[in-house]
Amino acid sequence: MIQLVYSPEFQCTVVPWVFAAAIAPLLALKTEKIAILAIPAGFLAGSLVVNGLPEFPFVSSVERIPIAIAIGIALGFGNRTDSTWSSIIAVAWLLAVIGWIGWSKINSDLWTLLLLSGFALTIFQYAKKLTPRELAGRIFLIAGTLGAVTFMGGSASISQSAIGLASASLGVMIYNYPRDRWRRNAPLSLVSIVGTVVLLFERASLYTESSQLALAITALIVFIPFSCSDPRKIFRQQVRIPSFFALATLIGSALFFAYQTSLR
Amino acid sequence: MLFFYRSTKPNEYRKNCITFGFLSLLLILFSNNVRAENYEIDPLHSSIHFDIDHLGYSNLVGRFNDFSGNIYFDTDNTSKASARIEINSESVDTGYPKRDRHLRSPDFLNCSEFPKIVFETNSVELANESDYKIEGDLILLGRAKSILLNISLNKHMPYPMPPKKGIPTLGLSATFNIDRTLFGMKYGIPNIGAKVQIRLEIEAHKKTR
Repeated sequence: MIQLVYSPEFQCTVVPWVFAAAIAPLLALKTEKIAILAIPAGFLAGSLVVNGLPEFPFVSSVERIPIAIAIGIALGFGNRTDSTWSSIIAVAWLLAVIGWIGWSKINSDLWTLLLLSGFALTIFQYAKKLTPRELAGRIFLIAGTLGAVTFMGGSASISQSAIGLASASLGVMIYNYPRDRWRRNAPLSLVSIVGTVVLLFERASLYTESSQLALAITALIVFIPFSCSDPRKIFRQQVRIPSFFALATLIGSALFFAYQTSLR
Repeated sequence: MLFFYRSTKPNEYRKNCITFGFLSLLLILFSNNVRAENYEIDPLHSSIHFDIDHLGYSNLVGRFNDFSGNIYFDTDNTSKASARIEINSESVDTGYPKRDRHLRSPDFLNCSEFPKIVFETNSVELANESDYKIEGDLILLGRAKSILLNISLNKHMPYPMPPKKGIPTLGLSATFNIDRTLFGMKYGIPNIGAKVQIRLEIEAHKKTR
């Protein structure tokens, strides 16, 4: 039993899940809009248990990501408004952390960084329309798939981080089942979740041999609506493909391409 | 040139020439005393190996195939010696490509983010006739940590084989340990050991102009 507690598999799944499920109601007591911070908080808890505290100076992306997420959580906790300023701060933080994590690749992979910035801003805008359960569900699927793709790409540590994020999302999803316990999320709280997802994608894309095509397909998961009964307009087009099949196709494709790359 | 300007005073010109000659002589003598000779590491006859504990069953042996470096060595004044070795971290080789790929990933060497491993000496001290104590900085995963190692000078003689025949050559061996967790490489602990033993076998030829 003791050995189980010390195993990385336990630490990267159970710890974020329990932490997120426990902290969500506490945050909701304070202000409902920031309760979604439970997801990045759960991710951070798992990351610290597995990797330990980052050591200053934070030279590698492994150490920078927890610091960036911690700052995002602090920003979200400190500002619960829906003002324009909070959106501006959110966007500035997103772009700053993307640049910080990918700084060593700014000359060689500038287009990747620009693409990631565009992706981050797009899902930030999209996430504002989602309820907590919808958002947590998407994060669960995208992070879980990212974990599988990066595992096949040869990096177990990024896979662990992604699984940790998926577990934290599961904790919030369960807390919001069968109905959402709060309706709206504050922008600065949302941005730390978006940032966590994007920074993991950034690390996987820039610093591992994971299939870039698989990562791109995985990123699309966030835009698939969950149910046909409540279809949402994406890019002004009604989504007609049943979501289950769309999700299965995307996840299956991502895993297929990731597996193909791992065989090389 | 101004120094040699033929002034209208011949005595002054003669004095300038003597002073310049004296200073030049001092410079030559002084520079010979501090100029350590530059030896370039021969990668074909050098190796960098590492051993790491695997689950307590055995030590996994690996090597780096691509590295370069220089040793500045002065036989008369060994405390002036210095060295710098640069290793291409992507050249890690354990004989199994899939494992090498994992070693290059962010789990271990994170080669994409940190393509170079560098060792630079800070001080060299003669321990006995052919052994030296070296203190230097190992830069791994972006972190510089001070390490101490004992290095043996196996031979310092002109090389007997062409095409380097006659060129003064250094032969060195060293074995030392590092704790990889100090550099932020924590993946796999304790199944994969924290302590890494590194063995250097170096041949370096004096750089000819």
